[in-house]
Amino acid sequence: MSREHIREMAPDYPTSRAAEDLALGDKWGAAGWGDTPSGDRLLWAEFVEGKRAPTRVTASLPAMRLTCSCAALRFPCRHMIALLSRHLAGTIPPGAVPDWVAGLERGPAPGARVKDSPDNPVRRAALVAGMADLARWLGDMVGQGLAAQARGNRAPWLDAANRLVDAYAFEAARELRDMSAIPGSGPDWPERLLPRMGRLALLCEAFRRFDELSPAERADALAAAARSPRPEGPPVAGDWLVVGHRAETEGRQLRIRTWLYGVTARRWAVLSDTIAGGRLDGFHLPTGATARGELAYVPGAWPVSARPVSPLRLAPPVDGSGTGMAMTIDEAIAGYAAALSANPWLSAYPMTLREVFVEPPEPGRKGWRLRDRDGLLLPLPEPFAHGWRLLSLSAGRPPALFGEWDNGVFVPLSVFDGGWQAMAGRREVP
Amino acid sequence: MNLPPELVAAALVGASRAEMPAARSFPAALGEIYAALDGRPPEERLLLLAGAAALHATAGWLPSHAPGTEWRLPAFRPEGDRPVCSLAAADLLERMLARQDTTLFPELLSLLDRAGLRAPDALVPHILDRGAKAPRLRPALVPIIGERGRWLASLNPAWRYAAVDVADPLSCRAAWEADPAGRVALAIIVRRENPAAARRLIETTWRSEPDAIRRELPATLEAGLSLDDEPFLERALDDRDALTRRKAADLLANIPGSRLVGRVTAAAGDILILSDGRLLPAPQAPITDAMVRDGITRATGSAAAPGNQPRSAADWSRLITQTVGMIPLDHWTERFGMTPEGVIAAALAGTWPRTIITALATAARRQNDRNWAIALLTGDNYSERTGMLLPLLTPDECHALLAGRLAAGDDAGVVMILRRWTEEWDEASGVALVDFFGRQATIDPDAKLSATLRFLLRQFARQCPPAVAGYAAGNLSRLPANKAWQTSLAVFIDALKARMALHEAVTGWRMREHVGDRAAATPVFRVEI
Repeated sequence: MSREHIREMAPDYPTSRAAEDLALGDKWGAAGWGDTPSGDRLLWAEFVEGKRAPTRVTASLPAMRLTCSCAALRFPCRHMIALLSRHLAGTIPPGAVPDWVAGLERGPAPGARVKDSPDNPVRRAALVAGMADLARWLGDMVGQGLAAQARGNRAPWLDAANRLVDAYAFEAARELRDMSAIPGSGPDWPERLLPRMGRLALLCEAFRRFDELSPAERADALAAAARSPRPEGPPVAGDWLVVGHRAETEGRQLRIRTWLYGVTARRWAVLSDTIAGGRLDGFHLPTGATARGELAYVPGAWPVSARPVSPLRLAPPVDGSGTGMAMTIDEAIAGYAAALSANPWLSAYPMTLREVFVEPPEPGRKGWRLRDRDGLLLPLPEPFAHGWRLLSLSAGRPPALFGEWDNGVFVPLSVFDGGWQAMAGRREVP
Repeated sequence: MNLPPELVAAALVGASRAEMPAARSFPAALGEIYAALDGRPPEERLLLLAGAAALHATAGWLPSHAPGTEWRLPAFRPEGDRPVCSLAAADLLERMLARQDTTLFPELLSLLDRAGLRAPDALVPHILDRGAKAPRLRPALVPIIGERGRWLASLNPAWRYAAVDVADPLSCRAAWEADPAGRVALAIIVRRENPAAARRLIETTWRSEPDAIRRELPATLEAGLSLDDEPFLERALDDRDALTRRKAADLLANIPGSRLVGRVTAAAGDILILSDGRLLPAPQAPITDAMVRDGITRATGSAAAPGNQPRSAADWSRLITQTVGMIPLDHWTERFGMTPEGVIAAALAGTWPRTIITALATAARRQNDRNWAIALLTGDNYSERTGMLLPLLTPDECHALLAGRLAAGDDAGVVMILRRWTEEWDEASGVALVDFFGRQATIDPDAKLSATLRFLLRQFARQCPPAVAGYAAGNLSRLPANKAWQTSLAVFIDALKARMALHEAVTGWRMREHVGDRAAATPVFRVEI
C-alpha cells in the first residue's frame, strides 16, 4: 500500500476529507497491528465518537479485506482509510490480536460468498414461469396502450417487480423497478420507456426458448434475469490491474463493480460485490493497484464477470501501459458492438481510451464531450463535475481515460496521470 | 437510441387498437425478424420489434465526427510557464483550498509567488473557483495559476477574471464591465502593471458605482500614486459620499506638490507660530468651504458658531492635526529657519506638544521623509505617536532600533516597534524578541503590558522568521508563567511550527530544482503501436 493508493480509495470527496481529519485527529481508542502465522497482517482500531459504542474497524493485508461497524453506506468508509493511512505513517503500535479481529484473514466476506445458484431445477422452473408471467404483463401494458401510464402510477410496476423477486428473477425485478420511474417523467418518456420494455421482452423470449439456447447464451440470460451462474472452466492466474470502481446504492446496500485488466491475461474482468450498510465487510482493491491471484470467469458469450478463487492479494504495481488495453474511440465503439452482438444483455462495458481531449460545453449549450485525435466525439455524463479537473490535466498532453460505456454515455471512472487515479474521491468543481 | 416513431405511436395507443407499423419503417436488417414474428399476437410483435430495434440502434451507434476545422479550444501554450511547486506544498495548498482555515493561506500564496512557482495542474480549477467566489483573494491567486490557469480561465465565463490580459485595454475593459464585484481586485492587478490603465478603468464607471464600491476604489490607487492621478482625485473631492471625499483628500495629501497641498499651505501655513523657542497655535481665519472640500473638518456645532472658529480643545487639536498633517515639512523649516530637530524641540516645549508631534509625524509619513521620521522618532523618545513612521525605516535600521530599545530595557518602545513593524524580522531580532517575550511572561504576569504583549505575540507569530521555531519551542515551553501566558506561548509555538512547515514545503523544492518540472517528468501512458 502506498500513499497514492490510499488516496484513491475514498468513494467520494467528503469521505476522503473525513478520513484525513480522522487520521490526524484524536478520536482513536485502542489501535494496533499484528502478523498472523500465515504472513497476513491484521490492523484494527477503535474510534470513540460520541456516546455510542466505539466504532470498530479492521483491515487485513495484503488481501485488503476491510470491515467496520459504522453506519455509513460507503465502502471503504472513512475509518478504514484513516486506519490504513495511520498504519502507513507508522503511528500504530504492534500488539496482540484481540478476539474480535482474529480470523479476519480466513473466512470469506459475506459479499464474496457464492449465493445459491439459479441452476437448481426448482428455481429454474419458477424462473421460467416468472419470466413468462412478465412477458404477459408487458404484453398487456402495450396492448392497452402506454398512454394509460402517463400519470406515473408506479404501483403496478412495483407489484410486478415483487412477483419477479418471488420467482427468483432478481435482476429483471431491479430493471422493472428502475423503469417504473419513467412513465410520465417529462418529455419523450415513451421513447425512453419502450426500448427498455422491448429488451425486457426479448429476455422473456429467451426464457421461452431456454432449451434451444447454447450453454453460454443460457448463462448470459440467467445473469441478466436472475443471478450469475457458478463460474466454470479453468481459473485464470496472473496480475490484475485495478482500473476503476463503480458503486450504486440500492436501499441499504451498495453494489460495487471493480474493473480489472489482466496484465498477463490481456483480458477484462469485473468483480461484483454487494456490501450491506451498518456492517461493512468486503474486499477493496484501490484504483491503480495491482492484485495477484486466480480469477474464475462466469460462463457467457462474452465472458467478463469473474470471481476470485481465493482473495486477490496486492502485488507490486504496474501501470498497464503497453498491454494494448487503451484504444481509440473508434476501436472502443467497435469492440462494444461486437460484445453486444455476442451478449445482447450486456449491462456494463469497459473502455480505456487513449489520448483523449476533454471539451467543455460550447457557449450557451450543455454537455461535456471527449474527443480523440481522429476528431471522434463521445458524450460525457450530464452534469459532469470532474470536467475542469480533467481539462486542466489534459491541456497539452491528452491523458488516457478509463470508464464504462453506459447507454450512449461514457462515464469516466479513472484517469491516467502518472498512474491510474480514481475520479470518485476527488473534489468536484461545478 | 431512436425507435421508429410509428412504433412508439402504436405502443402509446395500444397494440390491440393500433395498426402494426409497416416493415419499411424498420431498418432493413430487421426485416427477417419482422417476418419471423408474423403470426404472434400484436402486442408481442410490437414489444419484440421494439427490443430488436433498440438493440440494433445501440449496437450500431457511431460517434459523431467533428471535422478538424471546428476545433474550438484555443491552443494551450505552456512555453515559459513557471515550474510546479513541490508535492508537499501542493498538499498544503489543497488542504487550505478545501477548508475554511485560511490564516496561513495568504502567506502560502505569496511564498509561492515569490519563489516563482505555480500550483499543480489538478488544483488549478479549485484555485480559479476560490477566486471566483472571493474576489479579494484574486490579486494573490492569479500569479500562481500559470499558463494553464489562464488557458482554463479563458474557457469558463465564471473565471474570466484570471484570463484578463493586463496589457490589452480592450480585455481589461471587457472584464471590468462584466464583473462589478471583481472591480477592486482587477484594479489592484492592473495597477501593478500599468497605473494609468487602472485609473482609466476606474474612471469609466466611476459615476455609476454604488457608494460602497466608490469608497474602496480610490484605495487601489495607493500603489504607484503620482501627480497623474491628481485630476481624477480632485474630482472625487466633490463626491456625494463623505467617506469617498475623505479618502480622496487623504490620497491627494500623499502626492507631493499636489494642488490640494498648495491650497492647505496657503490657507493654514500660519497656524503654528514660534514664540520664545516654543511652537504655539495661532488664531485662524474662519474655515472656508474650500478648506472643508480639502478635508478640513469644521468645528463641532459650527453651524451656529460665529466665524467657524475652533472653540474647544478638541476642535483645535483636530484642526492642527489635519492642516499640519498636509502641509509640507519644508514649509516649517523655512518659515522658522530651523532644522527638523529644532522644530521638534520647539514643539515639545510648546503648549500643544502631543498634537503637534502627531501632526508632524503624519506629515512625515505622507511625504515619506526619512530625515524627519528619524528626528521625530528619537525626538519624541519612540512614543506611540511617532510609531506610524516605523515603516519608513529600512529593515536594518529597524532591527538596530529594536536592539537598542531592548538593551535600554524600554518596554514601551519595544511594544511600539512590535505593534508598528509589519514586515518579517531577521533571525537575530526574532531570537531577541522570543527572549523578550519569555522574560515578560515570567517576571510579572500581572504587569500593565501583559495583555497587550499577549496580543502582540499573535502578531509576532506571523512576522517571526520560521527558522526560530526550534529556538522558541526550546525556550518558551514549560516556562513558569501563568495560565494565560502559557496558552499564548503554546499557540505561538504551534503557529511558528506550521509556518516552518509551509516555508520548507515551498522553498525546499527550490533547493532540489534539478528534479525538474513534474509535468515533464510524469510518465505519459505509453501507447501500443
